[in-house]
Amino acid sequence: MNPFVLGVAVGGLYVGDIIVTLLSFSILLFLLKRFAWGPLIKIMEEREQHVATELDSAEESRKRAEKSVKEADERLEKARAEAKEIVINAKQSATGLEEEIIREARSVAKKMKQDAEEEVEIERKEVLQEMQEEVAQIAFQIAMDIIQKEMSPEDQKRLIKERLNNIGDDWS
Amino acid sequence: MEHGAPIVEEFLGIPWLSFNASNVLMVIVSCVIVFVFAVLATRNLKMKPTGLQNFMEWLVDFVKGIINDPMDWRTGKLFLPFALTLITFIFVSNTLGVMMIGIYGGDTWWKSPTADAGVALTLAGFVIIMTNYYGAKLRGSKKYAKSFAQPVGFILPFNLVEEFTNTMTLGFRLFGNIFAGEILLGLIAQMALMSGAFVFIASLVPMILWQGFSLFIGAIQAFIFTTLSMVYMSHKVNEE
Repeated sequence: MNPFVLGVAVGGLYVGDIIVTLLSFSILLFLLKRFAWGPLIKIMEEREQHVATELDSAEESRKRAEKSVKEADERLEKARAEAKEIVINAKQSATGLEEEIIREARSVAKKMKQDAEEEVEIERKEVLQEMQEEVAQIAFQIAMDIIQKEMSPEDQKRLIKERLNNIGDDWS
Repeated sequence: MEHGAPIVEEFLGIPWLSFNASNVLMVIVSCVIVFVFAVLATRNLKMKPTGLQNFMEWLVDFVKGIINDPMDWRTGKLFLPFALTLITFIFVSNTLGVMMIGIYGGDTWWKSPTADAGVALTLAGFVIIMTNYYGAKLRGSKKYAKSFAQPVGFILPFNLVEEFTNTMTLGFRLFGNIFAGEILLGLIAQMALMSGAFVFIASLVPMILWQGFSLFIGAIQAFIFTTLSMVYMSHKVNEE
């Protein structure tokens, strides 16, 4: 047995082979295009498109989200400014009210003081007048006594002293 | 232990119509395998690919890369199914003979169809015919015909010869690689059967190694065949 004899025959060129090969390959090409490659390529293209549109829409929603965040920030800022203004206004009005209350209180107090002073003055005047009248009456009485009795200087002294003591009694 | 080929001479009494029945069988087997696999793999296509669909999409992207190299995608897109069919058919054909060589009644029946010069050259011829067809279709017949005599008139015979040599190199490269692989596989198989159990087991090592290598060669040759086809195609369809 010769080990170098070829295990496979080279074979010649046969017209039949050529026809069969051409035919089978053409049919295979047609069928695969129809049933395998066509749908496969189509779905890949669809996915490509899908991804592209998804990316676009994602970009769009990102932009929209950014815009709303900006808007929200602006609104917040505005609200803050308004709140600040309100507080300032409130403080101002509160200060005004405070001053007014104090002023009113002061004026009331002043008036009360004035009234009290006036009252005291009136009373003092009344007392003074009363006292004057009483002193006058006492003096008159003394004078009457002196005139009626014609007393000695000792008696006069004693009488004046007595009267004066009476006054002290009356006054106390 | 030389094996013949199952030749059918003068089929139906037609004097020029002879077959190598092995080639007929193997071409059809390859076609069926490729078709069944491709259809099964592309059934239930989904937007979110799973399993085999992933593999097929990888293949499509790979072949897209091959086509995109020599031409732009707008014309190249047209040849995507053609290139996909070429690469899958040739790869399966190359692999069939690596798995086993089937011999029945003294004739080799099961082998790579591409290990036959006739089949390989036919494929190459088909490719060259397609390139010429698309060249004429995409650029207009007149313009395309004129392009053979450009840039100077005397280049016409060279261009015509080029068509012929392209077919030859494309076909014989494929045939030679696969055929050589099968020869060595056959020799190793013969050696294994020559003497005793020890030799049989020992020859499994080179057998496995060479089968691995043949598988690699088969894939590479399918890739090269497709790449060159697309390069030739680009020469035809691109305006220069």
